[in-house]
Amino acid sequence: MIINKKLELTYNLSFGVMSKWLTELTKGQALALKCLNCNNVSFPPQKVCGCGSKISSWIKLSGVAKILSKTSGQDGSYAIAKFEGCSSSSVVRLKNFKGLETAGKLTPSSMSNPSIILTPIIR
Amino acid sequence: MVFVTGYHLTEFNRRKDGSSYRDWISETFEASLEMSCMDRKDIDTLIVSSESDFFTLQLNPSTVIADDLGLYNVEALRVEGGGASGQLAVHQGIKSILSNTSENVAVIGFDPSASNLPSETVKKLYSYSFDAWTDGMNEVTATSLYALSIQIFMDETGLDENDLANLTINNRNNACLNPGAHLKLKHTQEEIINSPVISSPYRRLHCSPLSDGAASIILSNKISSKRKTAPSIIGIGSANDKVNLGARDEIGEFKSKKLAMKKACQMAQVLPSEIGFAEVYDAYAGAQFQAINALGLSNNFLKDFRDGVFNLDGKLPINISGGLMGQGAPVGATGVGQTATCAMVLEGNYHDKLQFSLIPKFALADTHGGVGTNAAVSILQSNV
Repeated sequence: MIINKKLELTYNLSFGVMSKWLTELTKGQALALKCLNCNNVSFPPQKVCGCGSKISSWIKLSGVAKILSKTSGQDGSYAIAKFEGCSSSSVVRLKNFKGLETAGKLTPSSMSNPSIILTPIIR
Repeated sequence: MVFVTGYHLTEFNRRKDGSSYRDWISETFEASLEMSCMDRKDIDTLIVSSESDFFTLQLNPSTVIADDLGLYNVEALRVEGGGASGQLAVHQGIKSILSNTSENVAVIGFDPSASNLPSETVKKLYSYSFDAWTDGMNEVTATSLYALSIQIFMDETGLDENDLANLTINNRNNACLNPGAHLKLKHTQEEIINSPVISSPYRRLHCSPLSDGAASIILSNKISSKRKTAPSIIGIGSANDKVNLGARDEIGEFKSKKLAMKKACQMAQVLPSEIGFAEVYDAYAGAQFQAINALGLSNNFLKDFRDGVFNLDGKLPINISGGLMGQGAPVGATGVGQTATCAMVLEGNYHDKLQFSLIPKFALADTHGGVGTNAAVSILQSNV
């Protein structure tokens, strides 16, 4: 016997201290956390820096990122990209990239799905 | 000392016979228990592993499984760590024995990854295995994240598309000799290179399948006269790396695995070069290369691979079961199944066409969750 059972779930998700970061993301603004001990800048933000410090402050990045590596196919287009002013890299979704572009700018995303999406910058 | 007195895997495949994961668990547990020459009353701890309640629609699974197996008044719990769930459950069992809180532990891994939900739904659920607030919101799939990692590894090491195809062929060829394997397929390079691109460089045939299945082992603090050749687990290690790929020091390296292996080798007092064969976590073709490199199983993994060192008849056979790519991947069962496979080989009980005539002294089971995010490895020793 096989029963088809449908489960519908609607979550009310809260994000605490990350809310600010996600809200800005929907506007296409890149907020990062800067460690006040070692000046490391993380995006997505890391609440505890690699140096062990928890003392940090929000800073605004330009939102421009350089593509280091990208992948595309049936599952969409994604990249590892390094945002200007950021110490580490980020996984980003690529939108409207044709294949040759090497940089992109953070673009606004929906309130229901705040995402790190880059659109191309032709340099 | 911890002995693997019983071990068993069900078939890994897509079940179409109306059976349930609870049937597979009963099947594998009864077989392991019989092999251990013990009674169910001897089991004092039950540890189960499964990746997600979404697959089974059963929260707190260890309790219903204990009932199904007739295990009462035991410690029953579940271990979860993404793809590493099964191996972490094995580790928990070993720790229970080494801390003298248990004498005989049943470790059972399972997942109905193939039959209970549509594959697109499973794919979406898997995307929450990473950081759901960043990668999850981006709707990036596991394949895309693995692809980004292997691209960097390929750039750094010279690994190419032919190597990915050849590894796929090797693992699926091994699966053809494993009666319990999911994908018993003979591929050609052309078939692989022409299969659809899921996330470059990964094509459909480079990916492990979604499988149903269960596996179990019985861990004991001593062996009876009937189980004198039961293998032992002499080293375990686990470590993590940052979840966000971009935040890692080395995006193409599985640093967590390197550290987990170091811990396991220290505990076992064994060098990586002493490992005689290994079952490693090949969720994708490239992940096997990344694993071999991180585990220190070779000083030049690419040359060794191209020279056939890791083949079934090579000096250091890897994934003789077919690995996840060939044998299949019911996620919670994977790590337990790898450990059971190592135990079978080390006691000379593996499938006829895959059993080595000269039994190695040491074997390695390697599992991870995420993209090498939480790694767990175990080193087993033959007592034959």
